Amino acid sequence: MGSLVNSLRRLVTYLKYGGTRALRPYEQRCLERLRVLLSEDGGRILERQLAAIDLVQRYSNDRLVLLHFPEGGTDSVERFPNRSDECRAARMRLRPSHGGALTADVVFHAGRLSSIEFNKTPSDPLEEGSVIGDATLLEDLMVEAPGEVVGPPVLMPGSLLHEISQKVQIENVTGPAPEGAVTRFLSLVGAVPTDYAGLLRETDGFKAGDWRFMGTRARRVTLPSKTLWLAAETGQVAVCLEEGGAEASVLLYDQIDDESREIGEAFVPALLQAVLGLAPEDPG
Amino acid sequence: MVSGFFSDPLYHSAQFCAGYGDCLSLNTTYYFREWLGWNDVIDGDSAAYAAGELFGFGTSLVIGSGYGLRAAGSRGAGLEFSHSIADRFLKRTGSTFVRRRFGRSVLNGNYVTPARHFRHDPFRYPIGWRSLGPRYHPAAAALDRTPWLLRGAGAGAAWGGIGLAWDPW
Repeated sequence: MGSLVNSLRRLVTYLKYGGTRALRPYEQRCLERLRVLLSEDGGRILERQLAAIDLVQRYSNDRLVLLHFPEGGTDSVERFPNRSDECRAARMRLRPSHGGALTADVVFHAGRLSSIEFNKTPSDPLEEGSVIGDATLLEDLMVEAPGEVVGPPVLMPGSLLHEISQKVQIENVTGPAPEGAVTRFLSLVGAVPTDYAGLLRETDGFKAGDWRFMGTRARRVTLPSKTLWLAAETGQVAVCLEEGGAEASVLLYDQIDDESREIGEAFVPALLQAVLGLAPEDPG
Repeated sequence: MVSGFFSDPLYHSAQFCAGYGDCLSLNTTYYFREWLGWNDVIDGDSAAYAAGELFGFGTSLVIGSGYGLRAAGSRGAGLEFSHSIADRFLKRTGSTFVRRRFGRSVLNGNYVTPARHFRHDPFRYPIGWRSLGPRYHPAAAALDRTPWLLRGAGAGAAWGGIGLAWDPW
């Protein structure tokens, strides 16, 4: 009777959400590698979470793998002490038997596994002979998320923040994140405009009208053909940076129309354009 | 038998109203008249009765569309436009009119909350999306993205169509 109820529940879940229940071998391997990086306690929590995964959904040509737990049963899954909204716990390099190398980030949300994010579409041969190369733990899952602010924001004349405040009204300005966190964040994004790196060293966030500069808490969005870091956003439109680009460029990304276009090479002018509503129209 | 409307307007109006009511009520009114023994004054084959039925179909279509239009919502706080046919496809037409006038109209989508948009659109990642649970199955997502205006019009047309097609005479 129990198995019948379970089968029915799975059928309903499939009809409602699609996806699969099982991870693919290379996805499994990424999580196994993460387990090795964790402490004994951390590894145990991860194993329990892996056993509890109920649904796996894949998007953006399999570059984004979303992991879900049973509905209503969230409290039964043990969580990591780090409960931040988006904890990018580890980045690892995969070497498939064919094709170029790719990276995979394992992301947690509120102390639970949330996604595996690849920087390229995993190719078929990867299913069989992929090898996990370097793996780096980016955040400690076993400690609570650190506070945001380490000092007052840098608002002195000549600073980028001061330049912005001369053009638009800014509020809720926070101090910069610790230098280590800024460096780690920048290494994840790749090539960034110089002024963006400079701005991160002056503040970790502020609000300008409907816009919010996200600092080191910028969200990463995995699209079928590219990966974007939403450096500043309204919730619908974002000024963002493309991960892994050879040269730094700033894009305006509209999530409603699902389009992104380059609006400059420097971050601050692009941000000001967007905040002031002066970004050039989409040529179509 | 009278031939023109003006020869006996009362008679023709009665036929028209009977056809209109029968179509809209899916012939409940027909059976009610039958129960009362009033159907001998109604001619189900008359032109006025047929016109009434057609008008009933039109009314059903308009009512359904109206409800659909209301359900489609409008630009407002906490709501955003969700395309049924995504802009990346409309862009291929090369027409700004198609993209802006049709693409962002209630003929091609609905105004929904960011959470609902996330659930049916694999390209939408609102702030806090990780706590919103799974996205819908692609088929369910496509259904959920269907413009309410079209759904309402479809429901209205189906209702009126049944009333029109079901002939108890």
